[in-house]
Amino acid sequence: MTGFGAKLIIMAGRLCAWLVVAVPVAVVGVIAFAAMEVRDRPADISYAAPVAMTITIAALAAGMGATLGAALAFVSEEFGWPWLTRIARLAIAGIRAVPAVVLGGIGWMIMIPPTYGSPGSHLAPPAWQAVLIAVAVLTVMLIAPAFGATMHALHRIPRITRDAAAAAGAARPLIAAAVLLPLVARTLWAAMALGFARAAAEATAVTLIFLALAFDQRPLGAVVIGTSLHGVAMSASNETLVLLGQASAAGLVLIAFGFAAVSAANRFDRNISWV
Amino acid sequence: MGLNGVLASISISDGIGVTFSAVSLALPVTMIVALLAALSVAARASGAAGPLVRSAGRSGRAVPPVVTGCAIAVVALLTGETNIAFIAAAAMCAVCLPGVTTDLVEVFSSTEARQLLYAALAAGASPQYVALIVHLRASVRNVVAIALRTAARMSVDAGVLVVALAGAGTAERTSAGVGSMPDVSALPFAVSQFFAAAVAPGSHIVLLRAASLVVFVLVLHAGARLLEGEPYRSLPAQ
Repeated sequence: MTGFGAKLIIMAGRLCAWLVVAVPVAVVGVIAFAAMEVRDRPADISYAAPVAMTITIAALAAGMGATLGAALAFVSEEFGWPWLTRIARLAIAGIRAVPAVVLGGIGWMIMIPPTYGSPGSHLAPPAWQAVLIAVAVLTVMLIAPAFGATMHALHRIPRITRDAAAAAGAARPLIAAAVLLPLVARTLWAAMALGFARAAAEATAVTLIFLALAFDQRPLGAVVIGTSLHGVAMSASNETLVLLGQASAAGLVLIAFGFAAVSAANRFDRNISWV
Repeated sequence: MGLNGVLASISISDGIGVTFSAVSLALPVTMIVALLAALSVAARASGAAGPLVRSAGRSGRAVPPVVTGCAIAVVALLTGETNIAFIAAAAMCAVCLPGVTTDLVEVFSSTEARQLLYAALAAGASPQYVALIVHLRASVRNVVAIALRTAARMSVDAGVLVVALAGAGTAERTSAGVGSMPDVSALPFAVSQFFAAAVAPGSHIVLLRAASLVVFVLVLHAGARLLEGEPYRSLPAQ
């Protein structure tokens, strides 16, 4: 017989479970509502270029970040060098601890023109330099989760697989390349897809990096989508409802990217560990 | 007054109070809701919501924090809410809730947790006892570790807060009838750090604040690591 207290806990649990389910749905609903509110007003900027730039930067960063993270996991786990394992895990813990706002600040400092602080005399850095640093910063952000995903995938492979390959005379590099890599390939693709979603959605670090281009009076919101959303906060305008509505349209594009990437990742490896 | 003027007086400790208030509000709410939801899912008592909670964690990855911040800003603007700590707490909850719940469901669904659950049920324990005592007592270290990581994320995630507080700033300015910038030093630490880094990335204070953010996250992550142990189990020697 279930008592009143147990019934209360079960009911509260159900309510909380539905609340958790409702949060992402509510966010998408509010964003869609805001975008619909300003649908008749012409947008201040075109989103074609930001979408293209977002895809380019995110795809490059996801490819490189997932590859580097996976390579680090393979080298530290499969080659039997304990010192390298310790260093790799320490490095990953260190990377994980650096917030996006600090990574963006580091990228911004690399981008600072030599004449920063001298009004009228500065030269804006070239756009390709900002893109390059944005890709590098996002790559660094993605190494840690890709490392963790590959490690978990490697641990899911039964030990007998390695033993069988070793018994056949294969050395560790050959086992890693010819036996283990094909077995974790789907996890790698999933890591790239999730990395794309995270890189496309990262706004803080990329905004700080692309601020360097503002020296050249280029519109801040016309760089990547996440930056255009942050541009709303930087604008300090009383028309923020309109700006928020326009930013919400960009947000819907980001959500579409995210759902496509997460769906792809689920098809490749539903049990991927991505934190 | 522009950002440069506002940031001229920013100090190392600006924003700590607001961040502390927002996190102390958001963290307990997030953890209590996530705990109840995860216990309900793990005990298979949540009905149709069970599979949806698991997929909400995955879908949560598709909704970027900056977009969640935008949604919170819209709500703040429409409701006229101007309390920065409250809006920041709402944004933190919205961003972290699906992920934290999924993590807790994983913890409560682990082989060890399930074995304890079945043992308690076989011994005749009530569902209330099973949910609150067996699950929580067996997983308390993991739950605290998840709480520490969530606190770290809430304290440093500027992506969601910068946009979320744009709505609060606008509502405040509209109600006051002024067009000036909000007081950046009264914003949460990560947000004022974002604005400060955007204006004066190389300044001494900005670098000190960045270093303190890294140390803070490192300490919380190290605490979580100590509690839950090695996240990547090594394979036995080959």
